Amino acid sequence: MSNILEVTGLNKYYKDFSLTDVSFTLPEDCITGFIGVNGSGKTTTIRAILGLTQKASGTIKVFGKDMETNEQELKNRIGVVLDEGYFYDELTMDEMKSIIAPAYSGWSDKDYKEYMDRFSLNPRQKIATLSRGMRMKFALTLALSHGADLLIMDEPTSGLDPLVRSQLLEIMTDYMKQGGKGVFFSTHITSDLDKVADMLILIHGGKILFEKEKDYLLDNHRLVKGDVKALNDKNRKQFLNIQTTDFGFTGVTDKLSEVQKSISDILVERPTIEDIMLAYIEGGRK
Amino acid sequence: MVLHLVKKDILIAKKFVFVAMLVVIAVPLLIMLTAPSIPGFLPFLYMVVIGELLLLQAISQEEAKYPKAVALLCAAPYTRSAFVKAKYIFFILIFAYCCVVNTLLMLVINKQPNSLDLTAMLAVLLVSVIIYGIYMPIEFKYGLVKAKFVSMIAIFAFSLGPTIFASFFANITIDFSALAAISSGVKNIVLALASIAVFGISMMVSTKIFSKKEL
Amino acid sequence: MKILISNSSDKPLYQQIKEQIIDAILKGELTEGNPLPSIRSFANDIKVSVLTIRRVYDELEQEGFTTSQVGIGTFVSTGNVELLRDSKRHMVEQKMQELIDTAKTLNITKEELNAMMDILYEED
Repeated sequence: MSNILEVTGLNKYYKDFSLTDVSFTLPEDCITGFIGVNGSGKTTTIRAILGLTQKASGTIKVFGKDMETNEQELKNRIGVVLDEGYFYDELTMDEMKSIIAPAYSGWSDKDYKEYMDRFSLNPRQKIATLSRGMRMKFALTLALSHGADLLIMDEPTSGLDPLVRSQLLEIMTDYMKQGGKGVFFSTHITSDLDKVADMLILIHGGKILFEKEKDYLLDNHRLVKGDVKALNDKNRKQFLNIQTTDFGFTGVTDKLSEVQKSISDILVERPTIEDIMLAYIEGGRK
Repeated sequence: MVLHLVKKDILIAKKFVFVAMLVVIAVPLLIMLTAPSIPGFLPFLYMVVIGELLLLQAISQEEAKYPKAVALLCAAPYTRSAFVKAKYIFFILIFAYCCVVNTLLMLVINKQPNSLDLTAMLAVLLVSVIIYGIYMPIEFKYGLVKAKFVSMIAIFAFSLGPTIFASFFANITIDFSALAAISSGVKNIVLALASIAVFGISMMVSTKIFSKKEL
Repeated sequence: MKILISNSSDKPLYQQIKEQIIDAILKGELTEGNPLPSIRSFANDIKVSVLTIRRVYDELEQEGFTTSQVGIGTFVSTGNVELLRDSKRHMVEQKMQELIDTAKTLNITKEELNAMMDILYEED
């Protein structure tokens, strides 16, 4: 199973923010969720991958080839959905298409028409009059109409209602059924990932906190609830983070057996991805 | 690839392009009709310089309204250098259009098909290439607002042109005779080469600037 | 074939799935030579990651329950007697594990459990 995207040692320095040693790989046939809070570096990383911003150091390989030396060839195989659409709003969708389509050698007008129909979009409508959901659908149409093998999406679901979000996720899974594809999407809405993600990469403050299979994370972490009085300095260390109220504590741990030995009378549940994400972020702050 | 980006430029500012094309016909027409004593190449010069700058800025204004659109296009297989080349090809297209319009106007109004000879045309080309060649890298590097400032100065200086030119002609007859001595063939070659050189250098500088730009 | 995944179980997802597939094979719900669903559609249907199903299929193959043919799919292995014998032990082991899990939650000790087993075994 080859890797669709390999990022190694990516560094980028701004005045108030940096990407530090960002490295991760996307295996083939996987939907990878790139998660993190606002301002954690998701968009910067994606822009660096797409060559929209210069990196200070690091390599980016797509389909095994270096992005810098094979830029055009690789971009031809990448479908891009950036949040807020990134269009010339004064144009109609067809006009915008006429600008983008010629750049891609694999462009298919047939696919374009099919997706426009599927999304009920009128190609002669001005982009400025589209709702947010329709803009995203149009962006997706453009991204899916040139035979792309890798879809890179930056916050595609933010600001969308649950129905549209679920339609988008369905399209993603349909896309993957073709085989040999990959999807990389960044989001801070973790409930979407619960449903479709295979791999999860968490970024915070410009650094990667983890890169794991989603099921592995859900299998190996547990949400533990118990009496605050049972906590001491020693067993606190077994948790990634702990929240306490007057009525008890809630903590996320990946060392369940140790916790079970040291604290009796606990409630154990499977965490959600959001629980795990917050645990790693807050845990890192200590 | 590059041609599609030129098409893009025309598409996003299509209303203004249409208006500009009309102005390029109308203004010299007016000058020729109301002040036929002015040497033929002056309206042409004005037409070219102002036409180029105004049209380019109209397009850049639209781009500035939707700055992320360039990002989407660069995330596609459009190269940064193709973007830059498109702007320079646009320059050539406008210049060609102006030449055609001017020649037609000359034929119609003055009935002097040779009053705009090759040397004059090349001289205008050189002047406009120099102005455009300085303007473009400035716009790429510092953005539309600052570059507009520079162009306003240029247009302002140009508007004062007739007065300055008139005094020039009165005082500097000696230089012209020296110039006239050089054969027109040599003049043409020098002008053409200089234009190509400035054009090329400006394009290279713009490409370098744009390659490093954050989108 | 019925595959039900419990979110409240302590067992890792891939293990739950693997054991239920083995169950189905041993009970004859999945017959020899017949194909298993494709990794992707299976993952989609039970809402698990493709990577997890891939691991399940890999381990099933390693343990001899299935064979896979590249480009065609994964199939239940044919004619494995040794396997069946182990499998029957496996079924008992599974039941025992269930027993032990229940006992632990009720705080029944190993000794009590053994005692209960001795009594019940003699009963038939």
